Amino acid sequence: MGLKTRAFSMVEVMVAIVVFALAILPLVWLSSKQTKEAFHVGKHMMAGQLAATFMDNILHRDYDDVSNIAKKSPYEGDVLENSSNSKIKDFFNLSEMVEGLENEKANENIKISFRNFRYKITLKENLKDSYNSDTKEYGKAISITVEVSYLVSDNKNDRDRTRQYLRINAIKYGEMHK
Amino acid sequence: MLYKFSNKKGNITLILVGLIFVMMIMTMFLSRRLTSHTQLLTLGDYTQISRYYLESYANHVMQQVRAQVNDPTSKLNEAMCQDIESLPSRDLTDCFVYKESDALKELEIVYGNNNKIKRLVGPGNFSIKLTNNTEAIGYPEWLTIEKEKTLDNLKKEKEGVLEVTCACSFNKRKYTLVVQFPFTVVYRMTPVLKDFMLFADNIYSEQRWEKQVKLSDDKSLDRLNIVAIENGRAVLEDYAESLKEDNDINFNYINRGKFRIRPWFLLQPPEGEAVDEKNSGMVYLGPTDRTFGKSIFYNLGGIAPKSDPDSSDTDLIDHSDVNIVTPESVGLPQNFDITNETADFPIGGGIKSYGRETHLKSEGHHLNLGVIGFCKEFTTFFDVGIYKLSDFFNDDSDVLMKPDSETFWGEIIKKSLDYRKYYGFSFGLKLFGVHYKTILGNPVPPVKRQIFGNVFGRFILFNMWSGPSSAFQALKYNPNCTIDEVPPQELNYLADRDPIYFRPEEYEEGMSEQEQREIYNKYMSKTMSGMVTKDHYKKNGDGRNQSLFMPINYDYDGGWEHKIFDDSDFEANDGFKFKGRDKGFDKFGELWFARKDDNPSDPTDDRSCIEKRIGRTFEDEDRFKEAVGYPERFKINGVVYVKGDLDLSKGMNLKADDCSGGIVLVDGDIKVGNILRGQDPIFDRNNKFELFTGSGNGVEIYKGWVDSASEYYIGADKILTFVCLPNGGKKRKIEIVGNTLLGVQLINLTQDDSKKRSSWDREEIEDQICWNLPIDSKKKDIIFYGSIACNQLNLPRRLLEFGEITNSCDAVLNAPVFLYPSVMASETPPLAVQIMEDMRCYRLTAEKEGATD
Repeated sequence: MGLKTRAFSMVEVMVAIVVFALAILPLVWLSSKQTKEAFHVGKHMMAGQLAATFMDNILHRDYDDVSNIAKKSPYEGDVLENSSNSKIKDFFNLSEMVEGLENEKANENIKISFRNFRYKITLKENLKDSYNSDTKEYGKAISITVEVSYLVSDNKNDRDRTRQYLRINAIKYGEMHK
Repeated sequence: MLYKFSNKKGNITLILVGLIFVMMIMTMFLSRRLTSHTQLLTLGDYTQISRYYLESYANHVMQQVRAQVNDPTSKLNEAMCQDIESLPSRDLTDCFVYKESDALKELEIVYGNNNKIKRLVGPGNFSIKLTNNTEAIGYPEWLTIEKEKTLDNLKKEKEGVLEVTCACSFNKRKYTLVVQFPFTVVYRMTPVLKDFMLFADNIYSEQRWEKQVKLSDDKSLDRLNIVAIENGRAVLEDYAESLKEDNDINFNYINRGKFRIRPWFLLQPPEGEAVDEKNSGMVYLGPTDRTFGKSIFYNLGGIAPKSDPDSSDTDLIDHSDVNIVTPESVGLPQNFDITNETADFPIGGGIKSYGRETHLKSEGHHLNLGVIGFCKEFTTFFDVGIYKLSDFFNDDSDVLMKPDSETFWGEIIKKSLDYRKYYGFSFGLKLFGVHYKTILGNPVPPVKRQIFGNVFGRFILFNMWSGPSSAFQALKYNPNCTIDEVPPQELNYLADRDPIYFRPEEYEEGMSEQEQREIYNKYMSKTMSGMVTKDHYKKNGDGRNQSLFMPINYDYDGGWEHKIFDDSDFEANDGFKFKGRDKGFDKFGELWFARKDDNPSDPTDDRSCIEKRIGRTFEDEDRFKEAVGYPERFKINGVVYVKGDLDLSKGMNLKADDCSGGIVLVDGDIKVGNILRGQDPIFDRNNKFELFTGSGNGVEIYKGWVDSASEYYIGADKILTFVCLPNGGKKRKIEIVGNTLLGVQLINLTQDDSKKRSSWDREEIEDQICWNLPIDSKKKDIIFYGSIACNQLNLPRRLLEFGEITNSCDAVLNAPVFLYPSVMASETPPLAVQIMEDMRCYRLTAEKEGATD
């Protein structure tokens, strides 16, 4: 009686490999997507923080200061680029803030993190807001739109290298006037 | 050994199914993780959007609140300006009127394609309220209110926190934002100082009589009695040079060659304003220190009692002020017939006395009280005329006009004519307004104005008496004389008639000699408020409580008697009073305007002063000007602090709506240009200033000011106060570079205590508030409708700035006009609500819609 060995046939193994491969592919794709999404979420949150920083910076300024720069709105540029416009430097420029960090590594990290971030700030003043018919006075208001955009991928060869935009709005109110 | 598989088929299937199952679990896990990431991201975005939306909403509400809290017609203003106990409720939502914002609506559209973001209104979603910690700001212990009627004023200045709640719904969530802003409610004017038309707490150092007593060899340095008067008008001072040669330097400050100056008239309130002593603008000439020597002697201007036939019709007013002397003020009985004024009493060549005649005890007996002020005529009359000086005075006259070694007699008789001209100069300020010749014969008392400080009116009494059918006979100066020793009047043409004896009201038969002497002392001719000699001082004290001194102030409650008024007598219309004399007028500026860093360790230094009332701080004048809208507008609304100098020399022309009164504290020098309220009244003067007489038909301009319908109305809430803050005793200056300032208070009380004590030793008197006008012969049209507070005036310099008088100058019509807005003395001073820029609390909450707390 001959020894009857039992084992996977080549076909079985091949089928198994194919099935496994087919099954693992979406998983790998999903995993990759998740990694990208996590990266994207991180960027999105950074953009949100950045936009909030810009917005808070504007909202906390005197109305007249903001009104002065509103006339030449919009302002846009790379987040880390040095603004040549001294008038708006204090408002939108992060480069000085970054340069000011004592920790060089942190400084470098921030520069890497924000390297593909751009901003666009639009200020629109309305001097005839909130009309009060009793006193015949208007209110001053400046509508502020802060838009921060970033590249989803830092890899230049990435086909998915799209630019994402985050936009927030707020209004700064001045005093009433005739 | 080989592994044996089961004979059963399907193992591979089982493994694959297991594998796939595991993969599915992993996929689900990853998917779920991704979803939660996305959800987290979405929630963060929604929160950020809601946050900025609500912040915008809250900011808009605050814009409206800020506009309404200082609008006197709004309910919100009314509610917040109540005293704490009368606050209607801490919830002020119903007092607030919300006006929609277009910008906010646009924002809602941006975020709400499907109306996703929605403002929530109604209770629980929107409110404006005061938190529970609202409390009175309080006052230093030395400043208080005791008058029941005005007690509420104490509690009106307060501080607290205003809380705004607003909510919105967004993506099935309700977001609520609560923000809190500290606020203060403060008076728009400085308590106490606002009740003064002129406040000069160190002006006595410009007269320096104190030194005369201590060091008799010093020459006087009187820079207050400087206006030369002749025939009732300010005249050319053409003898200053000769005075200089006599080393009598008190006039040298005014001597710029031949120059005529006018007194500074503190005019009576214009017709139409309620007038009593509390709201006609008080005056303080300091110090109130009653130690000997710190007194101010006010030479009353001599009078031309009747209209001079040579004068023009417009010459209604003269520069005399002897009319403020009443019989009571010189210690005589009050039964004088003051309507019978013997204005032209013939004392001598050209001199005229402001006389008052009364009946003495015996029938047909008369007493004439002859008041003579300081004027050029006085220097020459002694040698001619019906009466001689020797009829009234003699060598024993030891109450002097000047406190050096010479007696009054010696000074007049023995010195040169030029030296006598000292008696031609009267006080440079006219504290009771102008004296109108037209009202003689129908006497009107001087303006009711309280004068605080040791200010004494100086004049000479030439008293006479007469019997029936007899001529007036001088009552000669002689403090030792009894009534019986007064020479009787012999009537020669009635030989059989007994001599007529002087019998005043108080005389009774059988009186002791001492009693008679005391009575005669009241009736005899004398110098009132003349400076005493060192010997006299040693023997009798400074004598200010004796009848020889007449305080310039009237006590209106005491029947128009004269009385020294100091800070303990002060009570403003709004009820403010001083509690302790050690923290009185003289310390007011130093204490009220003190800063914490001035003396942080002083436990007695109460901080409830101006510093606690500051609502906004400006780093420089540019930011201040931008914030208040200068020069088109000037909205202070409270108390603000400006670092560095403030230059407003460009001036302003403010409509009532463009002006909100308040106090501007400047840590530097100040320049103020014209502050007009409509057209410049200088162009409308046209000799219409009889409107200020109180008897005229009123000035259209002034009516324009007080007419509430006028868009240029100057109410109490429109008064602008500019304050130079103390700088450790270093000099600070307020420079006026305009002619017309309306509704303004200028305060420069920057001299510290040590400076005040020593300043009479200095040659230099500070120009604290000055008109930056060239000193030349041109007439300066100056109108100042407001109040001034400083330590020193440097009066000669101020009068020179007002310009040389011309031919028409003898009337006040062309003189600078100084008026006090009686609205400043309101019983209920106007308040301003100051809401600070910085938030105290910020709370953003999110909840699912429909969820209950």
